Amino acid sequence: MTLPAVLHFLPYGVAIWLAVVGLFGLTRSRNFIHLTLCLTILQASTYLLLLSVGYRTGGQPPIARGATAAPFVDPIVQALTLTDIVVGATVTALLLSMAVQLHNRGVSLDPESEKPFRK
Amino acid sequence: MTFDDHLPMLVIAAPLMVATVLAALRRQVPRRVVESISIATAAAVLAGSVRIAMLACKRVPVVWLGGWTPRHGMALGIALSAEPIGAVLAAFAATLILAGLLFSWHYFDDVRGLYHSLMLIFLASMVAFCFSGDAFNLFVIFELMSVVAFALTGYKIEESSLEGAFNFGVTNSVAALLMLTGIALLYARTGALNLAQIGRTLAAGPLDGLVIVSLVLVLSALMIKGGIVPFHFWLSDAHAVAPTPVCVQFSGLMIALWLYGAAHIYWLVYAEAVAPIRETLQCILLVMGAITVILGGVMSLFQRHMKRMLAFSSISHMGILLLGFAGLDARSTAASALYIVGHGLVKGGLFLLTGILLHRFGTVDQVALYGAGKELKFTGAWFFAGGLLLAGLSPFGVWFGEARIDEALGGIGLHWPGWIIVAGSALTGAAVLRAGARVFLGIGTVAESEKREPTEKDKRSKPGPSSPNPLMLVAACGLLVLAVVLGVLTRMESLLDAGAEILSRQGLYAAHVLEGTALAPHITGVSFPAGAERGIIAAAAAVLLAAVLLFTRWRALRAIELLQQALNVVHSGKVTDYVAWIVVGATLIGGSFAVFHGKRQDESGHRLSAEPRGDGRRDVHGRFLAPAAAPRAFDQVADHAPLLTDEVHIVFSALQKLAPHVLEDKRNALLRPADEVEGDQTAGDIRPHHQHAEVHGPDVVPPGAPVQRDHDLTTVVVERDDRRLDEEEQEDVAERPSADLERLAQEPSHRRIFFASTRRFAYTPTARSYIHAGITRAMRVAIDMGRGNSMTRAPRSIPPAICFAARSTGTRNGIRNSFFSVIGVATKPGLTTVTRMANDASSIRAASRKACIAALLAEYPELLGRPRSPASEAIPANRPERRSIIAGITASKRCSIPK
Repeated sequence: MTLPAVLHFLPYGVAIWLAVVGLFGLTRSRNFIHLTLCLTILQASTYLLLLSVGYRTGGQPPIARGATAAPFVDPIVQALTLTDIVVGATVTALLLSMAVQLHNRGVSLDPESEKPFRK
Repeated sequence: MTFDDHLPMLVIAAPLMVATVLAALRRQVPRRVVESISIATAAAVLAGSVRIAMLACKRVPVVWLGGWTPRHGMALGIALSAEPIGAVLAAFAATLILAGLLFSWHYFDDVRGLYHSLMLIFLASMVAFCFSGDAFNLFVIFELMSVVAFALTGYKIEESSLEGAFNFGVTNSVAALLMLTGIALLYARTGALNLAQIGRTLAAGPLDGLVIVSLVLVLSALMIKGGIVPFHFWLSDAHAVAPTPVCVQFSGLMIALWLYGAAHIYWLVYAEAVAPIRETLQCILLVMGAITVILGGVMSLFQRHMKRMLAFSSISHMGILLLGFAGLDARSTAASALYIVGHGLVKGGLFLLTGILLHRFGTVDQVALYGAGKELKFTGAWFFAGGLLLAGLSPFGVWFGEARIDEALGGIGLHWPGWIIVAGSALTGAAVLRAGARVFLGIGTVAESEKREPTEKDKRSKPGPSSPNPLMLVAACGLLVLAVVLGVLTRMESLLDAGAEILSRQGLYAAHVLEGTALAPHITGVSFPAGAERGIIAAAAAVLLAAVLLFTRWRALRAIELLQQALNVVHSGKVTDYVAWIVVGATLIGGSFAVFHGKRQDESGHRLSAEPRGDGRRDVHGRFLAPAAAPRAFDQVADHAPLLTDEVHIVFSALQKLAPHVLEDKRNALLRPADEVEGDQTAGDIRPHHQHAEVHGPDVVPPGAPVQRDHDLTTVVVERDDRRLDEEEQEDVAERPSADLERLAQEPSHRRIFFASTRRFAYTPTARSYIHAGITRAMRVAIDMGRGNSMTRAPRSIPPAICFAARSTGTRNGIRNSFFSVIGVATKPGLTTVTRMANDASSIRAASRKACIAALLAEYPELLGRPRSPASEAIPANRPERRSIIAGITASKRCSIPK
């Protein structure tokens, strides 16, 4: 496998790795804040995936002014990534605020702790 | 552009804007004003949605945000398309929000303006979801809806509600990310985000791992959100703790809407592309649906917290909904949409009645409330009515959807899901009736073990007024009354039918969205569904079961105890476990595709490795439709022109042999086993070598006319009967009465759009999946080749002669011919393009695509700069045998146009 080929697949590999790590963290976490951060790691894998999908080898930024003949990298996925980041920030903020509220009420932040509302 | 044209945009934008203003002014404006404004907004959205539904009866409205309309069939902007089912569900969403807001008027002692803002944003996102025609837009809407839902769940900011909201938030965020990954994969393949465009491009490309992985991701994501086992854990946690008017939205519509999203995406994106693995998909959905129905029903019986009980009953009913969607045809989709409305009304009403209890007593624990509800006679009566309705008592609300689902599934040979549905309805109905008997009548025993069970500690606030507020009762009973009279709303039902019909025609729908060809629902009347006795049976079983549960010591049974313990262990309330279940579930779905799909690949050799993978963007430009879109692409097409008839004579000779012997009104010959076919070699030729019978039927759409199959040319092809030639001279295409070219020429210049190549293949005898689905092989083949498959309505457009030819070339004279097979494309009577394909596996799609392009060129030779000539002349005169061959194919059919 040549170096360019490796480099081409590297981002996808990293994206998969991030997804696996994030999911693993989500299943093993012992703290709600840690859990939320694992979620952001899982989300980071989608950023990387989106950007890799739109990348063109040897491409230039998708700015028309002063563009050369090289292909543009896909601007759509970049916009999608930005939106994704905004969405992710919203969810993270909300989850963290819930964790803080739980903490303020003296509830353990450990997801493995006994639950108050079974049945 | 008129007001109506902007309506789909307005009904989304208006509640969002009002919500923003209310959130900003919540401290300045009195509470009642805020409530009145939000109720008025919801009512306006309701009116707008109903108006859109009425518009959709005539022509499905498509709005391109910012005026970014598609060019040459390529979508750039974001589309809102209000197809009828979406419009009906949007109106239903507004109805539920309206009921929730009316209920909230007296329900909350102190409610801040943010609650109403959140409800309005929730409404806007549900409506936007119904109308969205863009994949990424869908993701954003999902997230918007989810975030608002998390916030509403934890609105009370109490210990349990925060935990429920947190579980909800984490699991649904994981779902959203799975979905986004799926969308990213689709974009990588197709370079498109518009659902119709993705679907069109996928259908023209290969079905490979990437498509299946994206399908698994998107399906899992929507099943997580829709609360299907084993993804359902968050649902009961969130529903148990959310404020009651919010529960109505969650249980009534939100989860069902997410499942509907799965069906919506399936139809618009995947239906054509994944047709070869349709049976596997169907199998998976049926199994998951059935498990969900039963598990949800059993769990709801084990609950003493009434909102959790209703939450589990919702899970069970989502299973029924999934069973409906699993039919994967237009009828079952329409049935499921009807079921969403029926179930949402009943479940919403029950939640609101439970909310009245919560408001009055500060708890909804069945044991704590034992007999407490005796004073609330009116509420109690409606609660029992709700229980019976939930059990599917005919002929009301839920039953209509269930009966239609049963009918639709029965239509494709699946009869067992009907009894699963009855069982699920009876279980959930029994749970509600038992709760009602305990709380409102004070009868029945409470087992010691049940008393000991931990339950949620509701904060017992000050007791509410002794009689429920009339407005609350109006909201709760209004929903139930609507459920009772649902059967009267036949107009809505026929609109849903028409909407499903539209969805199921992926190609036509894509043309409507991308090219603006007219697409109007075909509204027909509806008949009263059969199976009223099942409704009675389910309701009776629910009553009986409730009585048994009330008056026996069933919990003392060892088996029940063990079962309950096991289920309690599984429903641990720990979000980490939930995520683990998500991973397990998604892996199982993906794994079963891998197993079945791998199996199929072994069996039919070349089926799924059709084309080299290409760059996504190149695929868009080089795809099959390009000839119709841009002049430049025609140069590329010209390269394909020589393929028109090269080496077709192989097929011809086979066909000519076949024609006199076999093509005699014997469609059944298709199904006759090889050893039964008598005598000579030709008979051997028709041994079903199904894997070669892959034929693409191009859709033909007259511009401007309402699209009904009965009037377009495809049908002309469809309706021809098998018939051998009577006279020698009729072999000439132009002389046959069937190929009435003059009459055809009088039709408006037909615009042929070769989208949605309809892939057909018959099934190898050992193909497992449909045997599992309970369909015998013979029947399956008949569906595909003969009567037409309701999934695409297209297979009948394949003249059986082509199937014969295609099959016969696989084996000639008993010797497997490994070099040739055939692809034929009939564009109209008198012209069938046949293209050779090498039988070495990988080029079926490529060959069929060439055939279609060749057909296009034969039809419009001026595209290549040649003078136009009658279709039959498109065949070079110096190769007369081709003509006779083509005549051979078409002559075996006779044109009978139904008028």
